[in-house]
Amino acid sequence: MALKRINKELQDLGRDPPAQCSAGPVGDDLFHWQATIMGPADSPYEGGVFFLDIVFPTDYPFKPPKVSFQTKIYHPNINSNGSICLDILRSQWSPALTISKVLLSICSLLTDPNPDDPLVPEIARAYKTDREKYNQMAREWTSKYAM
Amino acid sequence: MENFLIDDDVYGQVFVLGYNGSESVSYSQNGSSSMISTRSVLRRKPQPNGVIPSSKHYMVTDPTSSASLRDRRHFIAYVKSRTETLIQEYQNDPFSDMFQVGRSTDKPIDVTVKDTRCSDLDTDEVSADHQAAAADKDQHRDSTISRFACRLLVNRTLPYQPRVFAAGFDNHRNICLGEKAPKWATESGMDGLTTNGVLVFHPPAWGAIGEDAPGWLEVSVRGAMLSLRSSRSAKQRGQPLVSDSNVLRDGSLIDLCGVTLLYRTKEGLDQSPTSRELDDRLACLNADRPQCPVGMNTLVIPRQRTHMALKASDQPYIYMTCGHVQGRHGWGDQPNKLKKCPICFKDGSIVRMCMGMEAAFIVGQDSTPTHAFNPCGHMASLKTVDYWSRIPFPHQATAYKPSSPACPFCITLLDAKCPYVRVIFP
Repeated sequence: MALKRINKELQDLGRDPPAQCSAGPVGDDLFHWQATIMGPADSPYEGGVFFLDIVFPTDYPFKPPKVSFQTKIYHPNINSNGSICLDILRSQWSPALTISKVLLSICSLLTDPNPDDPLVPEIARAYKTDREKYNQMAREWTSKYAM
Repeated sequence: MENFLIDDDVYGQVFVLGYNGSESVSYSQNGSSSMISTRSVLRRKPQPNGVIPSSKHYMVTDPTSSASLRDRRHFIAYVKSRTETLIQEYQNDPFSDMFQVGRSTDKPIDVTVKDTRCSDLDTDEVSADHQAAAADKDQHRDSTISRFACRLLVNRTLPYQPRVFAAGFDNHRNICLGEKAPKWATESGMDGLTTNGVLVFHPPAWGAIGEDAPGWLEVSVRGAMLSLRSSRSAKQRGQPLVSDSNVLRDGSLIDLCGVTLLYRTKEGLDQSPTSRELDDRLACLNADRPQCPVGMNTLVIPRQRTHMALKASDQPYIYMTCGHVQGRHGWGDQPNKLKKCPICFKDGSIVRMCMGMEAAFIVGQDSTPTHAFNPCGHMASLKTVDYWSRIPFPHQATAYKPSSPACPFCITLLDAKCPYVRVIFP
C-alpha cells in the first residue's frame, strides 16, 4: 500500500505541482524525499528557498510522514532542529492528506505563524509583542541561510 | 423509450422487489432449475380469460365429486366442515383478462415468483464465499409463498382498473379454502382469506407519501379489503373496510408473504426514467473517475453488489455516518470495528456502494443518484430514497407487522434512525 501510494503521489506532483513547492525522492529510496518551499511573497521569508526532509513511515498513509526543515528558519513553530509544530503532522493527520497538502499547509504556516502553540517561545513572544523585530529577524535569517 | 411502453396492448407492469434490475433470476423447484423473470408486462390477452363469480353457488358434501369439477368450470370451494362445502362457480367474463401470480411454474400462473430474502448485511467480515453459501442455504428453506398466490383482473378496455384478489385458480381451475381458512358469509355467498394472506399497499400517488402514510391492508378472494389480522395467518379476519378498493394504482405494492411486487401503470412508467437513463447516469459517474483519497486509485461503481468483473480495490465504499466515498483500505489501529473516516474523522460503518439499477423503483424524473440507502449502499435520487424509506414492509410470516422500511433494490431493512445518507464523492 505505502509504496503504491507514494508512487501515485509522486506522479500527481509531477503532473500538477503545488504553487511555490516541489518534492521528490532523494535517491533510489522512495521512502525518503526532499522538498523545497519558496518563501511566500507576503511574508518575511520572501526570496528564500527552504529545504525540507521527508521520511515516510512503512505504514504510510496511516501514519504521518516525518517532515523537518533542513534550512534554518526564524519561526515560532519551527525549532533549531527543523522540527515543525503542525497539527496535521501529528494528531490531526489523516490518510486522506498528501505531501502536496502538507507542503501547502507549511506555506500557510510561514505566512501565518501560530504563536499560541509555539515550539520556540522567544520567537512567539517577539511575534506577539514586537512584530517589527520578528519581521526583521526572519528576513535576516532568510537572507543568511536560505538564499 | 423501451418498445413495450408504446405498445397499446400493455396494461402495466409487475416488478419483483429485491433484484436491482436483474431481468431474471434462477429458480429451482422439484430438482429442476429454470430462470424466472423479475418484471412482467401485463399485456392484453389474445382472448379474454377473466372469470367472475356466477350466480351459481351450492353446497356439496364432497367437493371432489362436484359437477363443477367434472365440467372444468372455475370455482372456489369454501370448506365449512368435512361434510359441508360451498361451491361458488365462476363464469367467463368477455371484458377482462386474468393474470395469476404464484410460486408454481404451471400453466395457470402468468407470473412465477420465488422468495426474496433480506440479503445479509454487507459486513467486511463476511467473505464473498460465505455470502454465496448463505444464499444457497436460503434456497432450501421452505417457501411461505402459495403456489397460486393471487390473481389480477384487468378490464380489456379503458379504464383498465387492475383489481387484485387473494388466491389463484389451480391446474383444476379451482381455489379451495380449507376448513382452517378464515371465511364468512356475504350477501352473495361467501368470502375468505388465504393462509398467509395477500397484503396490499396503495400509495396516495406514485412517489408521494405524506406523514399519515396509508397502511397495508389484506385482500380477500372476492376482492374485499380488510384491516390486517393479528398475525399473518391468524384465523380471525380483520375488519372489512368498504371505503378501500382492490384496484391497483401506479405504485401499489402486493405482498405475498415472502415476495413483494410493485405494480406500475404504463402511464406511470412513461413518466419515469428508463433503464437506459440509469445506465447513462452510471456511466457519467464512472467517467468522472472518482478517486479514493487514501489509496488514490480510481473507483468503479458497480451495477450489482456481487460484481465479479470488479477488482476488489476498485469497489467504492460509503462511510455511513458522513457519506464520504472511498476505496477499501486499511485504517491503521482502530480499537473497535468502526472505521474512522479519513476525511472528517467521524466513526462509522462502511458499506459497499452499488447503483440502484431498476428504473421502475425510481421516483421523480431526475434519476441522478445523490443518496444511498443505509445499510445496503444502493444509490438513488433523494426523492427515491425518501419515498421508500417511508413505506413500512411486512416481513415474512414471523415478523409480521409492517414496521421497518426496506431498500427496494435488495429488500434489506433500512436503519431506523438514518435510512439513507447523502453520498459525498471525493
